[in-house]
Parts: sequence; C-alpha cells; structure tokens
Amino acid sequence: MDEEILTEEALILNDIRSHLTTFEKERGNLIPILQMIQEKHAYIPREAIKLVAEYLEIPVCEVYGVATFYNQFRFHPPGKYPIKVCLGTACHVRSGDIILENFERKLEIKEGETTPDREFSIERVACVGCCALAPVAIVGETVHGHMAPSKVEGLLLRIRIEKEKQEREKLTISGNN
Amino acid sequence: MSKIRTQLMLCGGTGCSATSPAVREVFEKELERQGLSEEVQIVETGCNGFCTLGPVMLVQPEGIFYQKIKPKDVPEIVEEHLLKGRPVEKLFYVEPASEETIPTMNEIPFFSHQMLRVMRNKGLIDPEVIDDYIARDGYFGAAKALQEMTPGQIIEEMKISGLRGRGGAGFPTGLKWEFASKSPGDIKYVLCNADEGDPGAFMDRSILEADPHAVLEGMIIAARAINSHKGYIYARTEYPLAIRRLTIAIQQAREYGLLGEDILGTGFDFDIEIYEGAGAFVCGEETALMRSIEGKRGMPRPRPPFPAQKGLWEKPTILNNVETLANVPQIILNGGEWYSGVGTETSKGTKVFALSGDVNNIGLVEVPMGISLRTIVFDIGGGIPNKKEFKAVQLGGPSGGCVPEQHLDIPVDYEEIAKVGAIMGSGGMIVMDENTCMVDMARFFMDFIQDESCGKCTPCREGTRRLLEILNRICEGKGKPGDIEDLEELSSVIKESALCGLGQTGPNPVLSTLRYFRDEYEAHIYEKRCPAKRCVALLKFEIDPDLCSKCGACFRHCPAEAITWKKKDVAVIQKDKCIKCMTCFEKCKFGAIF
Amino acid sequence: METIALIIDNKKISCPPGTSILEAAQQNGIKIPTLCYHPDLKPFGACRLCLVEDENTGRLMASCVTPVAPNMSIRTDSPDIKRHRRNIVRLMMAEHPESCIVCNKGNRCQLRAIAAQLGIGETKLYSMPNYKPLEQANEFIVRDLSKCILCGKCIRADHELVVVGAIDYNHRGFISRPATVHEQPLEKSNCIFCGTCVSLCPTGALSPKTEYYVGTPERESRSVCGFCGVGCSVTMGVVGDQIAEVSPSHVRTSVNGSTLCVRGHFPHEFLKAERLTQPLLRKDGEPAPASWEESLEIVSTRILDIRKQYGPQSVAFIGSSECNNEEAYLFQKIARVLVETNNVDNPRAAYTQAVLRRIDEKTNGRCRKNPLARLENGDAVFILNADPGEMNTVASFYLKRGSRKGVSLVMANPVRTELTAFSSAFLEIRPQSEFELIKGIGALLYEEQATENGCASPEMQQRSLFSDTDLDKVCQAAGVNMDSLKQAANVLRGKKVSVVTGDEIMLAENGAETVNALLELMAMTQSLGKEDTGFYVLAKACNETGAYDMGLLPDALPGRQLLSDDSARKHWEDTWKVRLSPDQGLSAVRMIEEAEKGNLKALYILRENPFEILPDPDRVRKALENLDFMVVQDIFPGELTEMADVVLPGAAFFEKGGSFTNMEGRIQVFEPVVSPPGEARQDWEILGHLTAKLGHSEPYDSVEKIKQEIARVIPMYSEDGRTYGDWIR
Repeated sequence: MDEEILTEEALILNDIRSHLTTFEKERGNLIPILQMIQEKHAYIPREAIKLVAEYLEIPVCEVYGVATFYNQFRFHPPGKYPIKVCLGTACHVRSGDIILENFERKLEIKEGETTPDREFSIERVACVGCCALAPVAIVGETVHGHMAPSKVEGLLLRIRIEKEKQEREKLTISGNN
Repeated sequence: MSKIRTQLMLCGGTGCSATSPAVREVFEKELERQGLSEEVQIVETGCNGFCTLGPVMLVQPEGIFYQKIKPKDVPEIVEEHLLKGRPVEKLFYVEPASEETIPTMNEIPFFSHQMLRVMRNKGLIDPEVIDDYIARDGYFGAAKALQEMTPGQIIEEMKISGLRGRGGAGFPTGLKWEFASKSPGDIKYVLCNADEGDPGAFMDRSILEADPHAVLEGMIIAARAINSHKGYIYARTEYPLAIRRLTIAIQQAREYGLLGEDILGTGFDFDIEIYEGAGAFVCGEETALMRSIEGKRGMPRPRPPFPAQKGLWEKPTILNNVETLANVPQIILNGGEWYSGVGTETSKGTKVFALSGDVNNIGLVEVPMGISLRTIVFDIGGGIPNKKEFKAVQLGGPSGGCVPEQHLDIPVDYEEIAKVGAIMGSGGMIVMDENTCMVDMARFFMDFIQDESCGKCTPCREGTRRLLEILNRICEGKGKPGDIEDLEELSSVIKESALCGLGQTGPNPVLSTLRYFRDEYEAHIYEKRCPAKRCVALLKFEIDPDLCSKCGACFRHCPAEAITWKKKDVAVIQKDKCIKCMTCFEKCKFGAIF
Repeated sequence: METIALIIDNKKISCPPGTSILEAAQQNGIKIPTLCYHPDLKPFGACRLCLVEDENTGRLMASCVTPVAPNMSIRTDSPDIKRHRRNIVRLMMAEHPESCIVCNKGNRCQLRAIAAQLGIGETKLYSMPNYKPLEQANEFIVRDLSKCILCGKCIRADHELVVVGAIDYNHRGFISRPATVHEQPLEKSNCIFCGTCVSLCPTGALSPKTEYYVGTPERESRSVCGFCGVGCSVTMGVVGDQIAEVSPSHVRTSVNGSTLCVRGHFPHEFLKAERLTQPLLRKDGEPAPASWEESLEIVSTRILDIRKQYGPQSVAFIGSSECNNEEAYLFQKIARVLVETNNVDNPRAAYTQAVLRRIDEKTNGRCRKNPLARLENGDAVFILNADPGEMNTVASFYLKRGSRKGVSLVMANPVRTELTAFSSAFLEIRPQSEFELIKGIGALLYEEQATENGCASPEMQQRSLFSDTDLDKVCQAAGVNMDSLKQAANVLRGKKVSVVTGDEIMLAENGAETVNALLELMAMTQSLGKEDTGFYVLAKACNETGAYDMGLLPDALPGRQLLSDDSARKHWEDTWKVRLSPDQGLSAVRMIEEAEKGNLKALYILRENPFEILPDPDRVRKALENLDFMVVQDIFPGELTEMADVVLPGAAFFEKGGSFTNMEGRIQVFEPVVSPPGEARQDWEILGHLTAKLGHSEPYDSVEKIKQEIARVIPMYSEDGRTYGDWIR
C-alpha cells in the first residue's frame, strides 16, 4: 500500500511540476497554486510544498504555514467517497453534529480521517449554503439533504451497492470482450 | 427572438440546483416534443429566494409560481399550462396557515412583505447574459458615474444615501470611500468581500449567482470614486456556481467595454480579478483578507494604519461586501435621496437576510430597514414548523447574538439590534424553536470561533478555547458553580482586549445566551438537566410511559436493537445496548423519550 | 520638529509622531508589561499584555502597536487594565505545563516574572496543558513547544533579523505553533542554529542546550565575541568560574543587536576543551610545571642572550590576529623596542591585511570606517568571491535584510552560496578571474557614463582602466556569458555600490590589481568614501584590523604607517626613544626559512599555530626543531606546546580585558568575564611582566595603562586625545 502511494505521489509531483509554469512567480500566486494542486489531486503531497517553495523562491516553512492555515487544503489522500458533513448553523440547529457522529460510528473513523481501505473519508465543513435542506451531507459532489440519524446507514449502503453494481458491470463488459 | 411568448424562469440557485437540472432536461424534451421550443424559452436564474420550496419556477409574463417541481410533473405543465393555457393547480403554493392556494408569486406572503432592491433582478434575468442585465437599466449607474459625475460627487451621493456596510459592522460606505480617495498614492485597490463565512448565511452567494453584474457595476463606481484601476473579488472557493457566473460576467463586461481600458470611452481604466479564498473565517476580517490575497497566512494586523491608508500591498484600499456594492448602482442612478427614503433614522435602504433554521419558509429575503423581526419570522417566514414554540432568533452568526420572544418587535436597525445584544451582521438569521438548547448553541458557535481563531492574540486563542472548554463541560453534565462567572469574566476580557473584530465579537454568543437564557445554563449546571433535550450527555435515554403511544416506531428504527417493544406495550430502552445515536428521539412523535 | 503632546499616567509627555504609546511610556520611565514586544522586531500586537486605556474614549488598546495621538490621556494601570492583564496571564498559565521548578529558563522566564508581578498563583481554571513533544536531538537548541505562548518573537527573528526561513506558524488557533515544514526537527530544516530565537524567547519554549548547568546563571557580564571579525556584543552567563551560556547582549548600537551565530552562541567545544593552566619549562627534555617568576626569567634571559650572541635578527615574534589590541601593541613593542628587531608578524590575516593596506594607500585612509548598517540601507552591493554566511554570519544577516528591503545584490563567486538566492544577479565565475570580471562590469558601466557625460570629461579619462576592455575576452576568462554580465552591470547601473570581498581575491597573482579595480569601480560609480557605502573585507579572526593598526607586521608600524617611511619611523623613534631599523623584518614564512637555515635562533609564538596556517607542516616542524629557543604563549595544549622550551598559559578572550577592532573598524572595549583557569594569566599581563624583565622602565601593570599609551601614540585610536571610543576617528 505504501509503495502504491509513493508511485502515485511521483506521478502527482510530475503533474504539479508541469502545471506550475502556468503561474507567474509572484507571492500572490501561492494560494492559487495550492488550490490548483488541491483541486487536481484532492490533497497536497509533502514534497509538493517544497516544489512550490522552490518555484516561488520563498521559504518552504512559509508555504507550509500558509497551506496549514486554510481549511481547504488536505495533506492526506481522501477516500474514494469523501463524505462532508455540514456543520453550519442551520445544520447544527437540526442536529448536524449527530449526523457526523453517526457517520463516524458507522465507518469507525474520526472526521479528518480516511478508512483503511481508502474508500471513505469524513470531513466536517462549514456552511455549504444549502440551509433549506438542513441537515446536509455531501458525498462526492452529490448533496444529500434532510439527513437524519436513521438515514446514515442507508446512505452508506446505497454507495456500496452502487459501487458493486459498477464493478459487476465492468466485469460483464470485460467478460463480453 | 420575437416568437417567444413565454419564459420559464427556472431557479438554478444552489438550494435548487440539486434537482433543477433534471427538471430542465425533461422540460427541454417535452417542449421539443410538443413543438414549443421556439415559443417557450427556459431561463436558468439565480436564487429565487424561496429555497424551502425548491425547485421553483416562475412562468413569465403571467407570474404563475410553481413549487417543488419533480421531473414527472413536467409533461403535465407543458401539456396543460403551456399548450392549453390551464395552469397546474396542484403545484401552486399553499399557505400553511390558511391552506389557501396562491397561484402568482407576488401574492405569496413570503414575497409580498419584501422590498427588492439588491435582489430586484433575481429570478427575472439570466445571470449569464449581460444583455438581460442591461435591459433592466444595468450599467446605467456606472455610465452616469463615469460620464457625468466627479469622484467627489459620487462620494457625496453615497454619503447622502446613508448606505452602511452590509458586512456587519455598518460603517458608512461613503465615508470609507472618502478616506481612501484622500489617501495619497497612484495605486489603489477596490476589494469585494465575497468570503461569506458565517455558518447559516448565503446572501452574498445568492446575489452573486442571481445578479453578478450588479456587483461589478458597484465596484466600477467605487473605483471611479477613489481612482483605483484594479479590483479583486475575494470569493469563497466553496461557491463554484457564484465564481463561474462572476467569471462569465467579468468576461462579458470586458467584451462590452465596461471593464478594462478606457471604459465607455471615458478614459477611465479598471479591471477586476477573482481571488478564491481558501477557507478561513478570519479572512472576512479586512486586514486578514488582504494578507490572504498577498499569499500569506490570513492573520489580522493591528489598525492603524487603516486599509484606506495602507491596505493591500500597503496601498490605499477599500473593502466592501457583496450586498453593499450591489446597492451602489441604484444609489447613483436614482440618487442618494431616493435611497434614504426607506429605512429608519440611522439605517437606510433594505437588508437581505438568509432566513433558516426552525422556520417554515427557509430562504432569502430582502426587507426594508425598520421592519420588525416578528414580521420577518412569522409573516415572511411563515412561523415555526410542527406547531412548536418559538424560542429565539439568532442574528449575525458567530459574532452575533440571539433575540428572544420579548424583543421580537424591535425594528431592523443597526442600533436597535445592538441594544438587545445582537448585531445586524451580514444577514444570517436563524430561527430556533423550543428544542434548541441555548447552551449547546453557544457551544456550537464557540467551537466554530475557536477553530477559526487565527491564533495570533492571546485572548482570542486561549480565551475562546477556554470558553469552549467550560461550555463543553456544562453540556456534558460536568458544570460546576463558578462556571457562569468564569464565562462572563473571560468574555469581557476577550471582547475588550482581542486584536481583531473576530476575537472582539467572539464571546457574543455566550454573552447573549447568558443574558436571556441564564436559567438554561443553571439547569445544566445545578440540575444536570437539558431543558431542550438536546445535550446527549444529559439525556437519560428512558421512555416516559405516560407519553408513550406504544406505536413501536422507536423499536423499528433502533439500529442497535436496544429497544424492546411488543404491541400495545410501552417500549423500553436497554441502556447497556444503547449507542445514544438519537434515532429514537428523531422517530418518536410524542416526545416520550427523555 | 513636529511633536505630539499627550498624557500618560498623569504625566505630560511629548514625542515625535509615529512613536508608539509603549515607546513613549518607556522613554519616560513608565513601565508597561510586554511579552511579544521587542525593539528590534516589528511590533506585532499579539500578547495584548501591554493594553492601556485612553481615558477620553474609554478605549483599550495594545500600546505596542498604537501610535500616539494628540491629546490622548493614557492610563497604563487602571483597574480594568489590571484585571484584563491578570486574566490574559491566567489564560496563558492555564495552558502552560507546571514545570517551573525544573525549567531551564528559571528566574529569567518573563511569563513567570509577569505572573508574579500581577500576583497570579493559581489560575483557578482547569489546567489544559498543550503538550508537544520535547525536541532536543540537535546539540544546540532545546525546543519544548508546550511552553510556547505564541509571542511570535522566534518567527519574527527568523524572518526579520536573520532572514533564514526555517520556521513559521503552522495551522491556526490553539494548535498553532512556530514550526518547521511538516514539523520536522530543526536539524532537518534550514535552521542555522544562530540561536537568535533562543535569546528572544520569553519562556522555556526555546533554551540553549547545555551540559554544564541547568538554571539561571549567577551573574551575567558583557564581552565581545572573539570567534570572528564581526565583533558581536555578547552577554555571558557565569556559574562559579564557568561560562554557562552565551547570548547576544541586545544592545541596539552593537554590531549584532539581537542576533548571533552558532559559533558565538554555542561555543561548547571551545569551553569544554582542556586548557593550559600553568607555565611549563622544558627540563631534561620534558615539559615540567614551573613558576611564573622562573619561566619569565628564563624567557627574558634566553632572548637577551641570543640577541647578544647572534644579533637582533636572530630573534622573531609570531603574533596573532586573535590577540587584542593591547597585546598586539605590546608584543610588537617588545620586538621593536626591547629586542630591536622588526621580525614580527601575524600570518593568519596576511591576505586580508594586504587588501586593507591597498585600500588604505589608495584612499589615504578615507575608507577605514565601514559600518555594516550601510549594507542594509544602501543602494547596491557587489559581493566578489566571498561567502559572508560562512565567514562572518552576522554580516550576512545585514546583506539578507538589505536584499529584502530592496538593496540590489550582485554576486560573483566560483560557487553558489546561501546569498545566491538573495542576489539580483549571480555570476558563477572561474577562480582567480576577479580582475577580468570587474573590468568587464566596469567597462559596461563606463560606456554608459562616458556617453552620458561626454567622453571629454577629464574625470572619465582618468578612469582608463575600463576604457578599452574586450568584453568577449572578459567573458571567456571569467567563464560567464555576456547576457549575465550585462544583467549584473544593469543591476548596478546608476546606483551607489558597496563592495564585499574576502582575502581569496589575493590568491590570484594580480590580487593587488583586483583591489585597485574594485576601488576604481567604486570611484566611477561615485561610491568611494561616501556616507552610505563601504568597502567590506571579511575577517575570519576577531582582530585582523586591530593587528594591522597595532603594527603587528614586519614592514609596518602602529597607526598603519610604513616602516620604510622615514618620517613615520622618526616619529616612532621619538615616541619610543629608540633607534628603529629601517629594514623590513622577517615575515612568518621567512622566519621558517631562516630557522631552517639556522639563522633564526629564538621564536616567540603568541596565540598562533604555524602548522595550521603556514604551508607544509612537516617543513615547519623541522624548522622549529632547529631553533635554540621557542616560547609558546597559548591557551590550549597541543603539538606546538609539546615542542616549546617555555609554555606560558594565557587567557581566552572572555577572560581578559582589552579591545578588538572589528571588520567595520569599530573599536570595542571589554572587561574580563571570568578569571583564566589555574595559574593562567591575561596575556597583556604576561607581556607586561616580560617588558619589565627585558628592561623596560615603565611597568605595564594594568591594561588601562596600555590603552592610554595606544590612545596617546596612535591618533586613530584616540578620541579628543583621551581614550579611544567606539570608532576609528
């Protein structure tokens, strides 16, 4: 597993390197560059911090300081199905924290962590602006509104079934070939 | 173009966007099938405001308002309404209290109490088409400012209007501009704060999604007033739709010569760039926001010097929030006098609120200053769902405070709201019913504040953490005598000695809940009881036999199989198996579990 | 000048605009507690302890970041202020580990001192210690971030003072800490262990690693660091007769202010090393302990005997550029006046002194004063074949700070150094091609000047060195391309240029010409002898300039006068009431040659190691074995002391009084911090005794007496004819 991550990281770093040059070497571009990395790769690898510092010719500790300051940046690869539980005020009033607890209990990880099989990760987010649907959980890009403790298990089950279905389809397709 | 007789204004705001694309797809197919594609145009609008009912759609020009449209409803709308001219009644809005069916938008109480200035174009234009905006007098204000007015006149007009910063602090906008215009220097910046970070607030996002050009126009006028040639919009990266629409709007404005060099042939240059914030609440604070654009950690710095003297890259800078800027074009176009015709003595114009929480009509509302909070909550908001009791309304997010029943009649006014211990804030308005625990609410906000504290100054870093620690203990049933006094003492220290606005207002949720709900704190500390039945640690997870209706809902839903129940019997929770997931509380309609 | 009038604690005060309330209060003797404020760092406003209240508005504000305004009426200790301060400290203490009793910071902990002042014992809050791992793997700095109060001084020191970029805040809020990238240990970061952060840390979060002692030193004394030519002002903490720790003295007017480097801050090796503690006399082939009286008697009689027998040329003196001025003066005086020989040298700084002499000759002594501050506030700096970061670390801080403030650095070096990243232009030149390179840059700038000013300008015509230079040849010789050469010239164009170089330029055959060319370059850019520029020669040893000034050279007299200059010699003959030989004495290399030949019979080596600095150690050893008599005056035992006939134990720089003249030309006086170990003595004292034995009538019984003589006889060391001050006049 570790080795897999390492080779993966090497590829990511090459990709980052090739995209860095599209940015001018200005300090003001530090956050946009980190955002580019986060967006393309869903996390910022350790070595990327150094890469960015070298590119912008600023101390690496300052890049690290900036990257850790903002909520947007992650330093570990997320799960295939990143779960974000909204804990905005409207969601809290409607017990978003209890939804989060239920996800944590079901997946046996804490927020900010990824399951050992790298399938799921849980994150808490500040208001996503869907207060009308509170409480809200977001899996991947899909917003699930009006969550309730009783719906957590069903949601996870649905994802697992969906995944299994896809895999079977893949098998069938490759079987047909 | 001339053939179009009907426009379907389908809401594409974030609240509706989970479902509206599917609806739109079916509409396109059905219109094609019925041969109406030439006559009926679908327009994806920005947030309509009435998010509870999403997805919503307005049929123009009749003004018929459809709500909660599902893809399967679409063939009927096309067939019956668009083809045969018979609106589909079952999708009309029904007033919850009177159960009366209301077909047109303007008659719905949610809309009829509002006064639309900032949101005048919502739902009426395609935000991705600049011509739509121009057709509704868009960029007329900018043209006037650039062609007919001197910077001094613009500032004077702003001062007459009485417009105050809508970001929360309420500093007079004209005055802010005047300071920056008087600061020496060739390079100045106009910044738009679209880093809407208050949890429970989505005003700015909706404005940007529904009418992005209004903000650009406001910035152009501001730039002219202080003689700036470069602007930034600092927008939350979590608002992809708003950013997309802004990007399109900037592009179109450039194509039309409304941004860039020599705007409208006046020789004035100004351009705007979008800067995506990376998610730090403190970056709503002006000096932190500027550090962030400079590519640094968003840590506030002491003022003076004020941004109007030394702001972004040490140059004179003004920072206004989205709503403030969206007000500007109309002030210039219609005059400051016109603007100040609405409102109270010290608070002029309108204010946008994001109404949410335990209220029937969740959504975005724009009201004239001076309207009472009660009107907003009960008339526009439609009151509290599930026949529950109103407890308080929270204004201003983590920096704000709550207003209880006895003060609900105060008007929307910066000073009046401050008097009762809350703040106008940027517009978050969260309604809370009897099941909301106010200690837990304070704890929620304190958790947010301490997590978002940048850590620079001691009172905020250590103090908010300490307040949270005390509140956590109280909610967990470990409160002790003296805790309330510590909360008060530390709150006063943080309030008076923290470096920036975030820290100084940080203790507000604690102070305001203590002010009105001290008894709830005392119940937690001395009786180890949560009156709102919200604090899990203080719940017994037992069933009151007198209240239990013996329905078995709790038994069926318990994921831990911790509840025993037989038909016609009171259910019993086995405490050794209970995982305290709260599912039974959710499922019990009778409040029998405590 | 415009002033602002206000009231602080009922006291009427006026001060210039822009002064902070805190500074205004401090200047008027009003104390306000602070933790994050330091005069050398940009005000930060983080700890909030310096809160004050404006009685007019009731507003509370952090006095360190609030400028004074007219008619303010400030209270620094109102009941509200005190209450807030107490609460702020309570909050800090509740997060702090309860380890005061075993904490290295001991009585110097500012948090503890303030807590005591405010009367805070128990915080009455739940203790919420924020434990972080203790880091002490490196040999210099112990980091215990559990004790960090986030005053940010270390980070600001790192960014603003030493410009290294090893640490910054990480994360946010309560968990935020000063951190290296990925929270790695310091030794894996680019930390240079200068320790500047350690001396600024108000709590025990950063402390020096020390094996000797944990706690608060008994007393502290100031001295001048003797480990390089910068001459940093240091404060030494003493326990018993041991130096327990060294820190910058934080004197604003000093060279280093709040900074220091790893050598000066953590001289563990130096302090731990075995020392010579008593005089040794060779008896039956073996060194044996002896009394001072006996040893000095033998030294004087043997030297006088040898002189009598073989003439003054048979005796020689090797001194050191690590000797202080008083020792250097006395040592050469012994040679010239009492032994009547010019055989005196300080070989370690030969090349540096050669550069200094060249500059002095060319400018008639107008370039003796080169404050390092000009590097930080000037226009442009040309760094030629030098590595300030390695040689004179604290000087490199000036360059880096300057670069951050907009001073343009142009660097020409055979290798990349830390400063390369700070340079606007970097030329990777071939070794010993410096002369060509300067000609190239000079020619590019000259062309411009010539066209601008018209070729006929007489001043321009004089600058003929650059007038016809083949740029292609320059590029070829220096191994640089034309574009980068032009870029370098462009950076310097129109600017006043300071020069930083080292002794390596003298390795080339045309070294002297290189110095000339540099001076020409400065002259052409109107930078020579100006108030805002300087010609900086890096100095490895602490008193290279002073040794030159004191005449510790075979061909120069004190006061930078040439031995060959008749009038100068006459002056010194009158002063010393002796006859001086006009013949140049032996240089150290020549001494070895003469010893080989058997012409040199006696050699007195003061604080120098010929094996280290002269070529071919084997040859040196044989030559020394050939001597009849060798005296070694030093502090550490070694091969040389093993060979000596007499070993005289001297004192380390912090064990004696005297003065050093640093690379700026600044004369810095210091007193002993501790006594030399055992029977070892201050070197001036040993030399003073010897002068008496050698027949000098006036006894040198105090360092003050030597100082006075120097001030009297060397004009550049006198201030108003009394004692010498901080700077060469």
